[in-house]
Amino acid sequence: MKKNTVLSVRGLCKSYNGVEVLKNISVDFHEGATTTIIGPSGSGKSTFIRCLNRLETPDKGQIIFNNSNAGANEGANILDPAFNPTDVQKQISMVFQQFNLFANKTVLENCTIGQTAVLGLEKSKAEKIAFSNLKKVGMEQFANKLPYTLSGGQKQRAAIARSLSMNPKVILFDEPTSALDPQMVAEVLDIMKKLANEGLTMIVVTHEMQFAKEVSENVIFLESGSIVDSGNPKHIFENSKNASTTKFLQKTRSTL
Amino acid sequence: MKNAKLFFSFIGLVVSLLVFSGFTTAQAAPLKSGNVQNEAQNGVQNENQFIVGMECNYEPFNWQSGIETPSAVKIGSAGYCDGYDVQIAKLIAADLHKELVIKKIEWDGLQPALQSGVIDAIIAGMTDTPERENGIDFTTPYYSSDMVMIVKANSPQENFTTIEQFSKSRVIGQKNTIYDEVIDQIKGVKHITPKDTYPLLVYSLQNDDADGITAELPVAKGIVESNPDLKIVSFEKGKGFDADTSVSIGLKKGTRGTQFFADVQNALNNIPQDKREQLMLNAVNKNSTEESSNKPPDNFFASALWILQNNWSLFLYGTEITILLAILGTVFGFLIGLALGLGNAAKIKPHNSILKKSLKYIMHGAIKAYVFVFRGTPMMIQAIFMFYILRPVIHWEPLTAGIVVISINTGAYMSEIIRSGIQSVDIGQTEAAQSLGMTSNQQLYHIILPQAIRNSFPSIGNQFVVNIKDSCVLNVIGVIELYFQSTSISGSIMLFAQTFLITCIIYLVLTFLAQFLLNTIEKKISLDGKAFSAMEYSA
Ligand SMILES: Nc1ncnc2c1ncn2[C@@H]1O[C@H](COP(=O)(O)OP(=O)(O)OP(=O)(O)O)[C@@H](O)[C@H]1O
Ligand SMILES: [Mg+2]
Repeated sequence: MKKNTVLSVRGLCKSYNGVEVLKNISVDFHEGATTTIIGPSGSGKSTFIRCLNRLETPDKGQIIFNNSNAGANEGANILDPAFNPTDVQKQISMVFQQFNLFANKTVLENCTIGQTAVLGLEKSKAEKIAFSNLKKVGMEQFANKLPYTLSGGQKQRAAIARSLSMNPKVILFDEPTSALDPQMVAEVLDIMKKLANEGLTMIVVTHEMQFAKEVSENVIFLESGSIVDSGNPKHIFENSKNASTTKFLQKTRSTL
Repeated sequence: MKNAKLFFSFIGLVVSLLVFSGFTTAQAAPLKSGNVQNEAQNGVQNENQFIVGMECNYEPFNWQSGIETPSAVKIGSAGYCDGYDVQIAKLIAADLHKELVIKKIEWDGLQPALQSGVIDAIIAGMTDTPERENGIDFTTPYYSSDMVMIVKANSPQENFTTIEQFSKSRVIGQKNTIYDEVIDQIKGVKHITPKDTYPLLVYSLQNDDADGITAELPVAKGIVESNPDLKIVSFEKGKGFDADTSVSIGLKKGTRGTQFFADVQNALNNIPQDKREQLMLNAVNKNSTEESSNKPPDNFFASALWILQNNWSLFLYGTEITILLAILGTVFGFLIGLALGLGNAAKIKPHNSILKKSLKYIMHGAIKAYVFVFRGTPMMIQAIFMFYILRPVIHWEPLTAGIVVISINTGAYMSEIIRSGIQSVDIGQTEAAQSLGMTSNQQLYHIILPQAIRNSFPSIGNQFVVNIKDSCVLNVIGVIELYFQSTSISGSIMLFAQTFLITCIIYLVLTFLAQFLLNTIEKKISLDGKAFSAMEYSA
């Protein structure tokens, strides 16, 4: 059975000061699937993933967002100048390398503010949803703590709960474990695996190859702003004929 | 949660402080200054009052003191006023069957006050001149005297008898008065830049910045009485100044011929010449006996203490006004700064309509201009400019004008503080808020501003400390704050350093307390449990 396409990217280009960072990228993301994006540093992974929820504005191309409950926005090109970025941002949320928890809000408030302010939910309802998500990431006992009191792993788990609380169509992860001490990486990856198994649509930029291998439906290898290789984990990690891919994987073998 | 509560309780504290101080002064001001301020707003409408304007700083015609005496008249917040003018005013008010109200007004403000109906009459040792006749209707003189020169004892000028002899001397007079103008009658004189009050003139003389001060004989007597190091030079007949040195009561232009003018003139006529001379003598002597019966100790610190004891209510009122100006100026300035900071933060977005884009463009330009002008000019100049340019339109009181000026001035600084506060918030906070779908207004309100205000709290608080000190420049438009009161006090007792020692200490206590309060609040609202780095005492 062919899965529904949530995001369909066509001919995406982006340059900074005349330097092309993304070169004509086209790819589809499927509902309920986890896609990982790997590639060397500076290859454009962050730029690309940030285009998907309009934190960056590409220069050229299309991103069609198919959302069954988006009503009028069904199948809209989110790069259309008339398209208000907040319409896609409230449905595609993001987990950042540096966590970016709201420093002035408690963990619980971090998880409710988007629901109340953006989705217009009642505070009590929002808190119920927030608590169930905090439970899911094992952070319910920290609900009333301010971010500065938490460890890195705890912050990232809270940030994941914040994203989940928006009940988004897609969650984007930009190197969610890169800023963590090694002993905290596992606690975050375990939660992400759990989410992947639950059928959440995730697009993950990562350097954790083992994780990519385990959870991905599709792996994209990005180099110098182009997708040079893509396919299922078996194709990428075991059978790749692409010289760049094998060279990159050789270098990162240590993490496998 | 805990910190959020603290933050709001801080806001609550500020608001209640504001409301409290606002209420107490709103009530205290009319209470303390009696009918003066009410009258000022209504113009002369109360038929039962005779409102007289004078400087209260021109002995022996009029002076100010903190001490109540049988002859003195209360001038509201500023203490008591006494002198020859006050006694004349009393007699005239009694004759008119009206209640006497005295309003302390700067020399330059007397005629505007008369014209706008704030006062009924000027009885301020003012001489009737043709120029003044253009704006004021004068009665016949109520006192005539010789014009003399005050010089230092044992100086070459001590034995002069004609004005010509002063041709190589440095002579100074009171600004905007006939006493300044007449100096040019001395050929070859070194005409020193005039000063506002006699205490300042005396100070120049004693400081050897001048060799002589022009003055009315009774004024000179008053000054020499309290300054034994000075002497009076009287001139031979025909060798003195060519000037009419009689003083008259000034009434509003156009009242000559009215019943009111006739009543005042009649009341004046009822005071016989010998009574007038007796009153003048009393005024000169009263002043000196008043001081000799209650003379400051010789010791510097003891005399400072003596000044405080005798004038504490004047200091207190000035301090209250200074605190009020600092609090209101900072709070309103903060609100203005917040509005401007938000205006600045409203970025022009590609999906905005043309109208919205151009409105934002104009707004950004206007904010830039506002900040440019108000940060680029001294607050003193802003105060003078705004007070006088708007006075004909809104007839405002100096205190109201002062609050407006300090708020607008602070607003310009606050808008920059808020702007850099917003910039100081990590970009990741904005991105996270964006990635939840928040609009830019929601990002600002929920995430950015609360952090920006916390981050810039030390600068915001510092602005409060600055305002405690800088509010003193508002004395130029007649706001009766701490510096203004100190000038009045030092002027009436001629002890500058001692008076201003007390003023210094009051300012220091205020800034210290403010800084202490700010540090406490900072510790409570900081997001990482520590106080901010800029914690050092920065007053
Ligand atoms: N705001 C910007 N201005 C100019 N150049 C930028 C900007 N953001 C990214 N770049 C450049 O674009 C290129 C791609 O950057 P990007 O952050 O997308 O790489 P990445 O694959 O995420 O790298 P990493 O693995 O180090 O995170 C880099 O050369 C980077 O220097
Ligand atoms: Mg990156």
